[in-house]
Amino acid sequence: MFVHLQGSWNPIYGRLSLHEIPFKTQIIQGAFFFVVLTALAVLTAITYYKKWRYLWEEWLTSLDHKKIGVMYIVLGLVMLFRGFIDAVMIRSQQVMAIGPHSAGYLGALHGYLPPYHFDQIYSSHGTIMILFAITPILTGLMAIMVPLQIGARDLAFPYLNALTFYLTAAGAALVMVSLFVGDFSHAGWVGLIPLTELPYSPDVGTDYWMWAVQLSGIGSTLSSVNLIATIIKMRAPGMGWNEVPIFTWTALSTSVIGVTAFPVLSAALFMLAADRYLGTHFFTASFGGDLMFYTDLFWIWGHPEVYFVVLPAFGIISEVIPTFSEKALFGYTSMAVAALAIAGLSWMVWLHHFFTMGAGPGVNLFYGAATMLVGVPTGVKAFNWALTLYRGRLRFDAPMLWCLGAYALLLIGGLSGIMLAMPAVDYSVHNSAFLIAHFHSFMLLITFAAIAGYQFWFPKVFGFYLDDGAGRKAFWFFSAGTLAVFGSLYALGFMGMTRRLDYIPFVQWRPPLIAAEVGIFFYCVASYYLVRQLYVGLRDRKTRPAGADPWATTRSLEWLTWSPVPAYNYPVLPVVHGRDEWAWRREHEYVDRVPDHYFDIVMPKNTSVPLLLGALSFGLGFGLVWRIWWLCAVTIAGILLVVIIRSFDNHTEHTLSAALVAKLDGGEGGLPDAPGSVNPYPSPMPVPFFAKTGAVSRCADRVASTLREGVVAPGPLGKGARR
Amino acid sequence: MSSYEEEPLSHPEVRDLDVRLSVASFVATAALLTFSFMVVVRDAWSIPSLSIAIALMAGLAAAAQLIGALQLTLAPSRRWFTACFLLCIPLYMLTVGLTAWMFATLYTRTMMPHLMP
Amino acid sequence: MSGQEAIREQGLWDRKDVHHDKIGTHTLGFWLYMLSDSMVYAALFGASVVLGHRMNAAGGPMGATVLHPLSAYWETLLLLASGLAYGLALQGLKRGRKALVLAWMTVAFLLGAGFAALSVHTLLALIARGITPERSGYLSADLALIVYHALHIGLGLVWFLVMMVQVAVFGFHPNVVYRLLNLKLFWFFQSFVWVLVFSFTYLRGVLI
Repeated sequence: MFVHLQGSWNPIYGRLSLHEIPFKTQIIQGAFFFVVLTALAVLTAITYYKKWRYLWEEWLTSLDHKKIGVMYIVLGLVMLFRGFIDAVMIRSQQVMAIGPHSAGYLGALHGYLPPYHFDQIYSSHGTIMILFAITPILTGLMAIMVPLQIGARDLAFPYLNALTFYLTAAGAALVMVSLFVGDFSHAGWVGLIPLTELPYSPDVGTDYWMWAVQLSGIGSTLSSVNLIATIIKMRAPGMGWNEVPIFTWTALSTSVIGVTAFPVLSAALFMLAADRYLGTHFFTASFGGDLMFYTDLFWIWGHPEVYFVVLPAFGIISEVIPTFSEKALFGYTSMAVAALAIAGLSWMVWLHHFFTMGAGPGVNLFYGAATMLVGVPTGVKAFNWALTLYRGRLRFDAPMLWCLGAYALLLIGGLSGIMLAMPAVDYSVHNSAFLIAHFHSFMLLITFAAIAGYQFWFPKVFGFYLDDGAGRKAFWFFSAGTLAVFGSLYALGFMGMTRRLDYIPFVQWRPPLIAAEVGIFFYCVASYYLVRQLYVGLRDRKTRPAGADPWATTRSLEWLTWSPVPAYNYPVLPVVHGRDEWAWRREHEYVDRVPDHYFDIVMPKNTSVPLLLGALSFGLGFGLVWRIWWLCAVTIAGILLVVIIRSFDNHTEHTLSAALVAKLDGGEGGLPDAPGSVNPYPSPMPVPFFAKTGAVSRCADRVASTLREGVVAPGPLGKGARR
Repeated sequence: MSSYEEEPLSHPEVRDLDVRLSVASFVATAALLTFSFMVVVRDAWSIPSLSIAIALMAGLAAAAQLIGALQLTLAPSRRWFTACFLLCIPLYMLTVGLTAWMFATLYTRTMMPHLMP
Repeated sequence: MSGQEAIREQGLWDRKDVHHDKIGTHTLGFWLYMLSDSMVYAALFGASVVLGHRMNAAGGPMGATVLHPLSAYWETLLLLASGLAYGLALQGLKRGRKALVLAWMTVAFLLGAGFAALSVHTLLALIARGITPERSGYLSADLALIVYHALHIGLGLVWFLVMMVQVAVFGFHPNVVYRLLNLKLFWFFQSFVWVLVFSFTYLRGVLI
């Protein structure tokens, strides 16, 4: 049943052997030492500051959607770093390997990377950036903000939320492991077929890629399910569909894509796996397989995936621009409809990724026209933003700048996209650097918007400001970098350079490539300022606490609760009266009102089961990659068993009494009745979600343990005191 | 709403369960599929008519399953289920239909026509 | 509506203590998951369309030599009957009668197990005749659809067992109730898919 393999295999280690660890490649050695040293430094720091228990109890086993969201974003940032290094290596190789007489280093004929290694780098760059950097960052932002924006206590399925995070993390871990044990795929992030078939890629690289993408894809599907159920079922009282904040609308349409498109990728990868493991002929070049069918299935997912990541970015822009224009979003309804229309249209454009396949002219015409149609709802969004800005009182805080940058990139990327939508044009620029520049315009748009979202909501989530000056400097350097790198790539595309070249034949291409290197330098400077922004924010956190409404002109519901957000989000769920509830309350001067009544709150208990399932999934992926069948059997049985055992636990929730909530919210037992009573205890939330910075009383420590365990532990745990 | 936690059997989705619908869908599906099975096994008609008959019976039987067994109705407790499924139908048609279309044109342009059925 | 009026009508903070509807949320979420699974089926149906031509059989067996409408017909009846039995079990749930639920679930489980046994038997018979997915793209696509469906049935049977234990142990706890409703969605959705598999893979397939 299983295919015959080239090379050795044994029942215990599968295909794994010591040869698979690339000792001899100096670059990987360097990366290995870097990773080991970083990991050692992090582990030592955690041990030195005695944070293991804190990490375990407050983060790794937490089901709090804000903490899981933050973990998503941290994972995304780590992977973003790796993807960035890959990008730097690609362009540096190209700038070194120009012309037949260019020198070779480290054993390469030209440049410093042999083709085989270079191929793995561009494959991992694409896979990581799209699936393990941007997607987790946006999913994290959605997981944090959607429940807050609709006035819910958590996502619909907090446990599933943790599970999806750990599935994504397991996928990311597989990608990282592939760096040091075996190889990564050399067939591009799209899995160029039939190169991914076993006869052409007998190594484990493709398997790593396949199972890593599979795991994160399942994670994305499930997190989309979670978000849709949350948005449909858990909106605050008074919030009809007309009052849903626009970021939540985009999260909804993104999740619709996530639920429907990711399974197609799963199907494509399962078929590819069957080809590679069982010897079927879905995509083989012989025995009646059809290799273009893989491409078809991949892009049935792949194109919606583009909108899966771009829609939340549009949502962020639609939240930031009104705030810093000090007026309501123009055209709310058309914005929401446009978001849904983009999700719908994303389903009939996928063939434009392979116009050159050779389908009939009618087919290409249909997909070309459908692709251009996407420009309509996108244009609606662009015009609505312009009309929101128009006659607004503009403030150029850092998040606003990043959004305007994203806006500019939308225009550039959108216009080049319309060019590419024409099959005739596409035939000449297919797979060229022009295409690369086009979709990087969009990816950078998403990055700009994600950074804007991070800077915009950071004070809400953590309760203190980031440094605005450093944020703006980062913006300008990042923009300069983007201009230099992708301006050059647009030019190179017109000069005829194709993608994925490890060696450049024409010396004329050198100047733009050098310009791109300069752009990379600007990116490095921008990264420095982004780190500095966080550092300064952390350093000055006690002197610059953010209130509930840190930007003073925010509009939607999430700004109504405390900053940092308490574990249960809202002590009492707010009643929604308008589209921009917080702006409505500000206008009617209800900003300082607190609840005069409290209810018991049911919260999910912490659990380590999702972490365990993530670890088992990682084991399963690793076992499949190396064909260690016993490991696969054990992990599959383990997953089934854990799921079943967990389903017998009916005590997964605990209740915070109304009295306790009242106490946490500022007063003993609530305040006098009647709307309009003012909170006499305007202290910041005593149980910050971002634990233990600054003034936290002993009471809060006890309460924090209550939140965690479901029982009131007597006496302080003394966590706050150590600092 | 919290009463469902204490009285789960009073939840509308439990109350709306209808055994008559299950029975009806069972009978209808079994009858329709038996019919299409019989005409195919007996080779009753020409292949195009058989194909149409199969597709028609399958459509009706699938509808019987969806409405009867899965209870995708317009009842308040079922509306979202129905809506979600209806929104997926275009996607099935796009996924299968557009794929079939593009490969049909691809095959006629690139493959040997005499190998096509 | 002016602010004061709105406040007077509804207040700024929820007064009804809305817990979210756990059962309804879980069933809807699971239904969304089933729909995502249906997209995998759609891709597999797409595969059987794209790989359904004579050239995809690569000279190997096709149509009537591979597929047995008769055994598939018995499978159909078994699966539909299993669904009916589960529908009757849910009637027991509606009336709150544990014994009825357990009895009908046992029947549904046995009928489902009959389906599984028959499909395993069919697949083994095919393999014994050398008709395996490795033979051609056509067989890969058709058998993938059948095997993917059979895997669902297998998992569903495990789920049946777990739920029977849970009903016996916990009674009609809200968690048990929503899982029973989810199992209904799962099980009937497999019947729905089987209707399409039977019609298009088996019946339409033998016409080629």
